[in-house]
Amino acid sequence: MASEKKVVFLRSSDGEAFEVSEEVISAASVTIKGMIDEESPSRADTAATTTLAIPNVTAATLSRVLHYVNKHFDAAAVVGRPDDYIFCAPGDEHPLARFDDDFVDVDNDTLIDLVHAAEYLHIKKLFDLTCKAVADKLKGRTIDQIRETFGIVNDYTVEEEVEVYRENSWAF
Amino acid sequence: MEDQGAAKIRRLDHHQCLSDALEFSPFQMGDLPEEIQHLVLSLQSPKEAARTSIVSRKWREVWTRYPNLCFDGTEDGPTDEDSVKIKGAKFIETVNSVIQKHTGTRLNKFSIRCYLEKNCSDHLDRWVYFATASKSAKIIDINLGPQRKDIGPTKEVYHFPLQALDGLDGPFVQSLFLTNVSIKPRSDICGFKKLVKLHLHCAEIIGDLPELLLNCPILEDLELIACSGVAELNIPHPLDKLRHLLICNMSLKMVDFQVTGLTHFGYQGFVIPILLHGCSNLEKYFSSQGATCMCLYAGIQSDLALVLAGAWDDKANMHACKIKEADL
Repeated sequence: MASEKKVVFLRSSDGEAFEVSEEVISAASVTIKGMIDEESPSRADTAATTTLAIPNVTAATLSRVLHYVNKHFDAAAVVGRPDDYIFCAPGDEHPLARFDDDFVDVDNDTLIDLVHAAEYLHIKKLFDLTCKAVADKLKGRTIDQIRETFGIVNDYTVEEEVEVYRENSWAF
Repeated sequence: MEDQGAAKIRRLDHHQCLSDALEFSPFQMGDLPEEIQHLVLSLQSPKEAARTSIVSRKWREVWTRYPNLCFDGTEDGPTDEDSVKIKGAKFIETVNSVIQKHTGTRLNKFSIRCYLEKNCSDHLDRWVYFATASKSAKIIDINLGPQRKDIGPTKEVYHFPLQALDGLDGPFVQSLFLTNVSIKPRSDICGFKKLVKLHLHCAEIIGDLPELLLNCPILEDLELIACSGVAELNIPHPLDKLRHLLICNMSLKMVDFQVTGLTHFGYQGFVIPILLHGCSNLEKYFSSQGATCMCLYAGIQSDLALVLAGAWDDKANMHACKIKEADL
């Protein structure tokens, strides 16, 4: 391991570059770790810093993701378990539970963006956290509220809707 | 505050652009890849998930791939969030209705907890074959005597078709839990290649249990509680992967296993010879309630067999001997 901390730059879909420690992002994102590993041979003989294009994630979302990743990595370093730095499951009693709750306390668009980003970057705990947050938004809602919350158009005919309601009457 | 305001305006602009470009708001739940929608829905209780099928056609489709179908028809017991509690006469009708609409795709767990007997065989067969036809089912739990515990099977038990698990392309069931049913193990039923857990409670076993176990090469956890039809548990072939073995209230004359990897062993019942060959790793014994439980911890060398002997209702007289296998 080199003594100086290696960094990489991630360029968002809208062209903004973010600096992040290679160690941190490799531990967090399977996708980026794969990209870095692919780049490695060509990097050995050059001092240039790598910039990786993240075409599916906007700057706004990427900065949130990196905030999450750094926060979790630092917390894990304190506990001394860097290998599984994102070891806390959503909902666990954990110092970061509060942080996680606040992190996903965002509007729907932002949340869905985070789900997509976590999936694309393959950050499992963030993916689980955000999916659970989406699921929580469904809980206790009426059908109309769900449609409204997620901007879904009711594409049933009246007859069909009655029929679907009838076949699921046990759930009401 | 100004910053926040500016950010909000920027955000609105950004949103406006995208909205213009895509007509609808671009980040609808309905636009999520199916994978994510499926995961989100699977985090709902089955009742909540079923309700969402009224939201739109797409949502209804996702519901028909809901992963865990657990139905509980008992009056008693706590309401488990993950299972659908349906009391009385509606139970069969509801299960039929749900599985009729379900595609079987992505099914992970199928569980029935209800007092049902032989006279419901047609329905039960349909449910079992539905679960196994899905190919993806990992857990099948058919509990037709939820409160029987240690009493043994009822008279008119449903016959569970083990052959439903057969099939070259799956299902690859990993956990099979059966309570108050009958089974007929045969050597030519081999759908247990991936079976890790097998719990038979109050099961009427007609046929050859050792043959069934022979077809479970990676079995790790075996529970036999209050099953009838087995006089001797003499398993001639090694079960190398078996780690947990629990035998309770069986009318057995002897138990003889070759279990080199066993770490947990529990026995409750009449005093009989119990031979566990080659288990040098036994870490822990179960201790179930009451004085009738007889368990033993032992670190046994490989050439020794563990023999339990003693009075079943008098722990003071219980003792364990280590005997060389050659002396048996």
